[in-house]
Amino acid sequence: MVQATETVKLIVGQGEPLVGRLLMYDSLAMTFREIRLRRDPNCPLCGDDPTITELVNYEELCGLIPPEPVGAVG
Amino acid sequence: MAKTQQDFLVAARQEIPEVSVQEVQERGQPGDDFVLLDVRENDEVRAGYIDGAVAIPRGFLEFQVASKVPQTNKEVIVYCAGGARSLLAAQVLRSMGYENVSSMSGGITRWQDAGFPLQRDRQLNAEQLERYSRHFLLSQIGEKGQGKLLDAKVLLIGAGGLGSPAALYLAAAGVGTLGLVDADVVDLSNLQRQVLHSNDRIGMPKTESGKIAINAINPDVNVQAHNMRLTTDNVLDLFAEYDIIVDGCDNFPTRYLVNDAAVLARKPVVHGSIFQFEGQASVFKPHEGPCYRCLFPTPPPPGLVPS
Ligand SMILES: [Zn+2]
Repeated sequence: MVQATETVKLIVGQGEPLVGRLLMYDSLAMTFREIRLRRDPNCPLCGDDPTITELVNYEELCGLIPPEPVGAVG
Repeated sequence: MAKTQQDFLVAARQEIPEVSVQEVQERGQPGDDFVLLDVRENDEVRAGYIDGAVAIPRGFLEFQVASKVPQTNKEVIVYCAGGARSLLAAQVLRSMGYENVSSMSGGITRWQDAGFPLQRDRQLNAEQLERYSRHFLLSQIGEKGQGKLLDAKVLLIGAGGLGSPAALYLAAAGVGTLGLVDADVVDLSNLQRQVLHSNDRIGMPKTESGKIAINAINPDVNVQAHNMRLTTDNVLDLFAEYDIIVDGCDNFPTRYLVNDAAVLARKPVVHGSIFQFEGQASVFKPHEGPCYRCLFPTPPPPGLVPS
């Protein structure tokens, strides 16, 4: 519901989108919290001097498979 | 003796200055220095209007003008089809306190005869006009916004717990193209929360099941079923086809893949995640705000699973 609303706002260009804000929702307590987010100039991806300029191996990144041993022979 | 139409127009002409279509054309795009006000009915505006004009049907003028033209000292040029209604509307505006009001003589008919261009919004058919009529009551959406929705292409990553409600609401709102990426089939244990699917579609690919549900709500929507896993090999080609990415994925590798690809392809991501009773949402607009890696540069240790 929040995602659909934000998507419609982006499409029609109205309202204040959740850019730079993280909305956190706890349904047991029924509370909403919001924290301000800032773009990190040191972000490896979208920072001023990015080190990630192409896609990587995401299974490996998340530790789900071990990194390929260098020089391994199949 | 009762006044005739002619009496009204003669009186209005004495009070309201008229400008020619050439003069209006030479003024250029309306905006900061003047407002071009179209007082024709909605169906006339639909057929074509002057670029940059503000539309208020004559019958709603007194009720809507204050919100659409707040400053009464701003210059307002009113037009209609032939130049009569605009004179009377201009008289009303003047009596409401607008100081600098004129009427475009000959209306949009003369504008067209002079060979000047008309702007046309996307044409909605009779069924669409009724289906989206509640959107037209919201000034922030209106027919223009509906046109944008119908032209929009949104890709949903995951047709599960988060993707389901997003898909249904976006379909109902009339987003023209919805892509669904999911490699799973519908399972009985999904149905407790994944409202896109149903009992009689257990075993069916979620993308196919989603397509049936979406088109049952709104046949306007072109559903693209991408029955596959998102990978480094297909993600950039897929993102290129869409304007906005809605991330409802349930694992970290896909979340980082979506984030990185979206930044590289410069597409906004509407992020959502849920774990048990807690949810998070944000919009990551590349280079205008943070991305997911600005928050979490690297994934958590394996074993912590979002959903
Ligand atoms: Zn970043």
